[in-house]
Amino acid sequence: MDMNEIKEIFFQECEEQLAELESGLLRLNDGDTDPETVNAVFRAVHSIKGGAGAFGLDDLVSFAHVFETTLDCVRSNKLEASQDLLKVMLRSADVLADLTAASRDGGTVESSRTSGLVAELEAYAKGQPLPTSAAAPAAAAPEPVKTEAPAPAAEAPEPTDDSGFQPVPFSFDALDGEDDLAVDSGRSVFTVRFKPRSDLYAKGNEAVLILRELAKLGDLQVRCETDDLPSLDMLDPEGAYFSWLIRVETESNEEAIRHVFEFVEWDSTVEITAGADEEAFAAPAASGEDQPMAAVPFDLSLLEDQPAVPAEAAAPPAPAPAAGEPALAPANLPLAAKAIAEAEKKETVVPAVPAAPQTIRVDLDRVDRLINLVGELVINQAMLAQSVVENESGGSSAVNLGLEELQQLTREIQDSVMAIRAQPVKPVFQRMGRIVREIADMTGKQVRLVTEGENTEVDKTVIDKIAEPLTHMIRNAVDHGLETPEKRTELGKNAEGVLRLSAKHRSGRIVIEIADDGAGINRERVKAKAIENGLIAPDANLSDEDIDNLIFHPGFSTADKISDISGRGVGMDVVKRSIQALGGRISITSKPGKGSVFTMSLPLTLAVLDGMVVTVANQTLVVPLTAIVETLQPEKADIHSFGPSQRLIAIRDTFCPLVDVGHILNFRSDLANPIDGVALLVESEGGGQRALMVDAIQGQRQVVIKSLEANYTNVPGIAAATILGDGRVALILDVDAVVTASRGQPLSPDMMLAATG
Amino acid sequence: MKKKVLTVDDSRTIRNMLLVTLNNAGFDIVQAEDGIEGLEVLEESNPDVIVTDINMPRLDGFGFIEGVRQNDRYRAIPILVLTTESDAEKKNRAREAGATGWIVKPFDPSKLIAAIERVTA
Amino acid sequence: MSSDGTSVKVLKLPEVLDLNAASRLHEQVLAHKGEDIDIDASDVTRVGAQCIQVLLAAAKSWRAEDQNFKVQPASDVFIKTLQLLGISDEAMLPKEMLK
Repeated sequence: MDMNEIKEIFFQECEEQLAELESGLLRLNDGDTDPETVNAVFRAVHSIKGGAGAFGLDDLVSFAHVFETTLDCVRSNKLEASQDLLKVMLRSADVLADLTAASRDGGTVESSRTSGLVAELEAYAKGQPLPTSAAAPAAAAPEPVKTEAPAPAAEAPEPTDDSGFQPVPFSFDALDGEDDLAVDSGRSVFTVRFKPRSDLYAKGNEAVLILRELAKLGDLQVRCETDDLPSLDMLDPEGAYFSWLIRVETESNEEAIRHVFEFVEWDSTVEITAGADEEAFAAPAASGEDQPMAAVPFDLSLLEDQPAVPAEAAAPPAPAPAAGEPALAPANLPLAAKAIAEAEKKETVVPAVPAAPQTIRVDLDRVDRLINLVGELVINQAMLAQSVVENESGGSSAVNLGLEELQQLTREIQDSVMAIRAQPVKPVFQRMGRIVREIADMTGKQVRLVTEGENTEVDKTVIDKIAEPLTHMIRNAVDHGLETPEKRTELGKNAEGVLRLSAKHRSGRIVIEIADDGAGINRERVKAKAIENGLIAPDANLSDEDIDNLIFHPGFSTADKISDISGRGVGMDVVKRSIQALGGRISITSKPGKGSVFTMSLPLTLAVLDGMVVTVANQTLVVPLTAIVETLQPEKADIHSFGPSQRLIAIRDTFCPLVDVGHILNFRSDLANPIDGVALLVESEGGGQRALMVDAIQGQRQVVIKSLEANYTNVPGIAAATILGDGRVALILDVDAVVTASRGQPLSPDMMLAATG
Repeated sequence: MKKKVLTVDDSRTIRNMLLVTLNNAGFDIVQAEDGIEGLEVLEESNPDVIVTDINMPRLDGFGFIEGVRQNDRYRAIPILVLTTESDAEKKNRAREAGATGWIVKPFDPSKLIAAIERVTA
Repeated sequence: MSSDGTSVKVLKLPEVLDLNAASRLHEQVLAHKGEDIDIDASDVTRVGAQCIQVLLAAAKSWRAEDQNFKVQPASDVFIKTLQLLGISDEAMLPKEMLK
């Protein structure tokens, strides 16, 4: 894995965090007071900031930082998550998303957008104590340097130990054995007093390691003060009794020395003084036992692990032992190193098990290819089954059994493969939250978006394609559907309009509804506009439903003035067309003063469907099974005629219009005799049942959808085509289009767009 | 001997970065996604040093550090927290919980390795 | 500081003498109080200041009671850690170890 791959992971993770952020903020907006929600929101921003920092995405980092700071105030209850604040935060989440996208795809975000929000966020954070404004701990002022200059030659400590041990001044880089401790140019001497408290050890720090780190800076003379050490029985084994007086001769500055104590300054007393403290070194320890200054001449690398990588630049080269100092020269460095290495080997533990990833990423192309192949497999399996049936001699029970199993397996493979592409609509729904906020801002309306069924799954190809029509419908609903806050208050409604976006599965399709509690369709105006545009005759007698559905007519727009939002040349007709292209349908129901509901129904997948194979005028057609309520054999007594060509069929105690499919599709010019065929009772999306008349039912099967539009051209009344088991091509019936056509409107591309199921 | 590092971080990005950085530096790595998992992994991996994030779901870094320090077997393990420069307050809380040291984010690989070397024998 | 060979008890130190080992070391050393003891530090690969504190306190306590207490043999790491910490107690760091 390289950095680019990690960066990709980062952006992927950002998407998830942004979604988390938005849904969390929305929950807070809905009055959720669970601290974990605030925490999750904070973590999302924090996490984006952390990753962005690692990749040097400075714009992202600085905005995330401000955002995080304000969130932290909320998290620590210093700031109340008011509606106003949440509004700012939701907009900040949008900007954060844009900054993320800009970092990923290049491009920029208008600085005015970020700077405005930064100011707002900071204003919220201010007025309260800023939790993160605490200045970095200022380096303690260095103690005044003693007035008397350190006597350069007086460094060699007196022999204070009657054992004869005499510390020998030692310089790591003084290979010539020069024992003059004169401070040569660029080197200075510091005196460090270091007294750990027991907490230092309890937190996993270690005085040994601190001294080792210090020794990396230069030459040390170390004196351990052991006076505080109690008698053995009084001793707390985990106490801290030792303290150290250390003389450091180094090319580094005091800052570097202080840095060594960075992790322990809280849990110890550290004094760093420039110059050598002769008095302190000279003073005998209070106890009778003198502890001499011990020089530290040995190879310190023995005390640390061999760094597995070349140590960072800061690490000094392994100090070379001085020649001519036999008393202190390390006995046998290579041997010692080997001993340590061997000792360490014994400690080697079981190999690490990296955490297993929960998901794998697969190129969509690969999945699509698999789906295509499975589609071919389904067709092939059907063809095989058919030829076995046709070839009587091969119809042994073993073969049939095998075929059945094959069919089942094929089916399961297909379902599993389709499941790979199935995804919840959540991401699309979440994007809508942002659309709503933007339009609400533009129009000055107050809108609350409520989403339901976000986890409803649908094929990825469908998801990708619903975002655009959905966006437009949402815009339309806010722009045209909802009233201004003033108007709403006037009408006794809550100033804040509610937009309800929901998804659910219904009979093998996904149904998405967009409901607003606005004014509803202004039928008078729609009708007037339609007459004005010559869409309908001035004296046309239209039902409410018909009028409502006029808004799907090409080029129809009721907005008196072209607003920023809906004046983009995209009308509801385009929405309808794109949904139909997905094999979907859209309809509207509206109640004046109460609001409108747009309902779209889409296939769960664009790849396969369960169909009933029927014969109509010697043609083989497939009727989507999801549309069929029941099939029945018409009795002569049940058929009633009215008008020149209208017929009804009595089903139990209701009458249902009879639709001659062959006639509608122009397969034949005369009407078929209902009692010679079969009636399929279908339910159309706009409600209402129709009996579709076909000549015969061949059977049910799953068919692989082959787009007619992609391979040929759009054919009214026909949704798509498929290849049957015997290799023949069959057309898949567009039930809604046929039903609509049966209402007396001829089947034509134009009218299809104007009409709605 | 290869030192073993346990990293605890809920961010996939950071986990991967730590993995790559520490792998390249020749460490053994075990990883956990939050404090709870961190304590579980600790038991089975016995690391030489722990690097942990603070903000995590389920059990955050403070709780995790306290958990380690209360564990008789593992309480001596050095723990480095990943923190940001501006987070003086968090750094202090982490210290109170028993953190050994910290690594300022965004970490650069050499600083991370240096900090680990600094607190491990 | 001679040893009488067989009569001297030997306490073998573990490889790692960190925070976790200090209490146990303390108990072990206390258990040998009143008898000559040799501390075998030859296996030590890591030793912290706290265990050194225990050993030094023991050395002093043994000396006060005129008993023999000696660290011998010791690993290089052990010796060098003592040097780094500036400990030069004869019982802890017999001169011959430095040769």
